[in-house]
Amino acid sequence: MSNHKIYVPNTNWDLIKIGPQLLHLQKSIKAWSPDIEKINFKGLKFSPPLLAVYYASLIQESTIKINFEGLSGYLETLKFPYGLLPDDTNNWKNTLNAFSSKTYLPIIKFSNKTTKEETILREMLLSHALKIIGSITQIPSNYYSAINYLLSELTDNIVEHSRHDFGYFSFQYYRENGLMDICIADKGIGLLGSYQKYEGERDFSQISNHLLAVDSAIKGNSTKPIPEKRGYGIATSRRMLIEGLGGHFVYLTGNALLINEEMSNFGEYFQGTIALIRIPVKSFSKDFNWYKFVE
Amino acid sequence: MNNVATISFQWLDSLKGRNTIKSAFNQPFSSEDRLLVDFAGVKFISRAAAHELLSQVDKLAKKGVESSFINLNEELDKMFDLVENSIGKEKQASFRFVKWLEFENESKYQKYLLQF
Repeated sequence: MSNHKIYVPNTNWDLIKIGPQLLHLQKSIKAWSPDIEKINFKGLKFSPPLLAVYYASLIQESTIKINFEGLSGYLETLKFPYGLLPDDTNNWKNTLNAFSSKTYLPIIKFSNKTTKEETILREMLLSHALKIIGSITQIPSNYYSAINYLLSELTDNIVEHSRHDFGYFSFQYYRENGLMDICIADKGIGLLGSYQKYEGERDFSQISNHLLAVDSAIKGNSTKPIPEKRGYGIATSRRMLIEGLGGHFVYLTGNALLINEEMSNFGEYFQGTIALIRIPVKSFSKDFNWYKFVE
Repeated sequence: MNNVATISFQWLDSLKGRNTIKSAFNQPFSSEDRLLVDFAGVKFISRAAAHELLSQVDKLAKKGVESSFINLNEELDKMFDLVENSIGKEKQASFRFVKWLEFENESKYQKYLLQF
């Protein structure tokens, strides 16, 4: 008889909506305990980017080995849980190209290292992923550039602030609903950690919890060694997404959850950051000008 | 005659991160140098990357190195203009609004989340 403690994710909700995804995440974090040795994914036939990235990072970055079983064909195609980890060959391009006819991409694990080689590889990888997304969703060039902007801001934050080796990227197109999700996450120090570890001339000592950290980042208080008060680009990204693209912006770090302009105490703690951008891609406005939202 | 150094981004069609620019500029320039930054093939530059590039060029200018941008498309040109014009300006407060919500109990919070 096995004494292994097994966690089985509950999937009774409609996981296309953002709220049920967040509740699933909250419940999963709450139920997690260090003595869980295995996750059985038999009930998770589909996983939206938010949850795919969460479980992938949980399995990969836990200090103890977590086994898993019951992966559906969908999760296996997502390369769940290890993701696509590109090397310096071009095989990753062929792998991504094979997803052009699907409605999703595999989970991508990108390096946050700042050597020239790793930087170029990350740029090429994310650009190529975006090209495939453009081809899947058939978005026009003004929307493509806006998404490029959002992707740049969010991944750059991870590279510059997470103090962690890797970030995660996941994409899903809900064709029937005319929506797409992109999720970008890391298991690094989070926004609060970024303020706490700051060693420059500015005084961030008053930023003592995750909610204050998010608020402060949006207000433009940056730990970047640059003179302008611009913050993490979260505010600009958020406005472009909500007002320009009619989408939703979800940002979770620690126990701080920001949904569009509203912040709440998530009640559970996520180590690192998760950003989910949801974009309606059913109809497009040719008048949408993404530059209007760049500060 | 001045030495002319060139930075090109031939492998990339978009410049997203600050580090992409930092690593490209991570080379010695002497005061005799003139720098050409070649954007051939680059279709997109992020605000962060544009800001970093202008900062690097500014640093070099202080050392007497003159820079020129070549093969710049309209989209890139617009972003550089936008960054140059925004430096030092007050940012729009409406961009930075956050509404802090509190909930009496878990069930109300659940109801709130389920509206999205």
